[in-house]
Amino acid sequence: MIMIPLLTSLGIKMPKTFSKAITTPAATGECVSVLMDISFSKKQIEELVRKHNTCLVWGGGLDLAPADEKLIKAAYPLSMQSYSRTIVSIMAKKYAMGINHSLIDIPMGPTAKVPDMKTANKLKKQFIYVGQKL
Amino acid sequence: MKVHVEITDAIEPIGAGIGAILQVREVLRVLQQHELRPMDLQNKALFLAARIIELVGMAKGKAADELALKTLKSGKAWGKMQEIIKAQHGNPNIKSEQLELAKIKKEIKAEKDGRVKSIDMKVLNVVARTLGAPIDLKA
Repeated sequence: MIMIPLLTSLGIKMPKTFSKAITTPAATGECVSVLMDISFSKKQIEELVRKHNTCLVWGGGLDLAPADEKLIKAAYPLSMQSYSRTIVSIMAKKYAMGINHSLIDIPMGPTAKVPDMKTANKLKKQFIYVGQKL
Repeated sequence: MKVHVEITDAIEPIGAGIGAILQVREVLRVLQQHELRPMDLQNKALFLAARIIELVGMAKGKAADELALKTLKSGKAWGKMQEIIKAQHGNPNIKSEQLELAKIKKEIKAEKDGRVKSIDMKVLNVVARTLGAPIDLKA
């Protein structure tokens, strides 16, 4: 929420979509919704990006990654959480938005979602691998 | 797709607020360069912003860090945020003090002196969610 205006003010185009909180107290979706509307149609989003080089919008309901949404629905009642599915889910949505450069931050700490360097490095490799295929 | 991955330290939450309203208050304070802005949040945002500046080839190393800092300090980043807020039907002149906080507040004081050795973010998450987050933005 700080980086998007900072970088887009420099002329970098960043059509930002985000989710709402699933396991955290507040995701970018909840935070942005405090200050402005976040639900827009595809047409409105195109208009925002054309005019402002950016948008801060909720990706749900846009059908960005329809297979991913079905997988989430199936995994939720089974409390299945897999790192690989998370990676595919993130990258599919970026790809659908036409992103060609992406920075992935993996916060790592003993009580964070990614607890250790070994897991973090494995995720890093998988992110880069999927990126190469897109 | 060009992908760059940063693994960052997460031994404690960034910023002091947990929950949408409290987190947004800190975002506004960083963008508006308020005296009470949390510096850890500002520094992390600047660090990652500089990595994107590098990734797209706009500047490298120290020059990328300086460009990110200058863009924030000069108010250019906040100006752009005002433009986005306006385009998405919000109030572009919002101040961090204008955000309405939760009505019920409870202060819990430590019973003895000491230093915080570690913070368990999983427990903080449970507390916030028990209080109503993420549905209640003020929780």
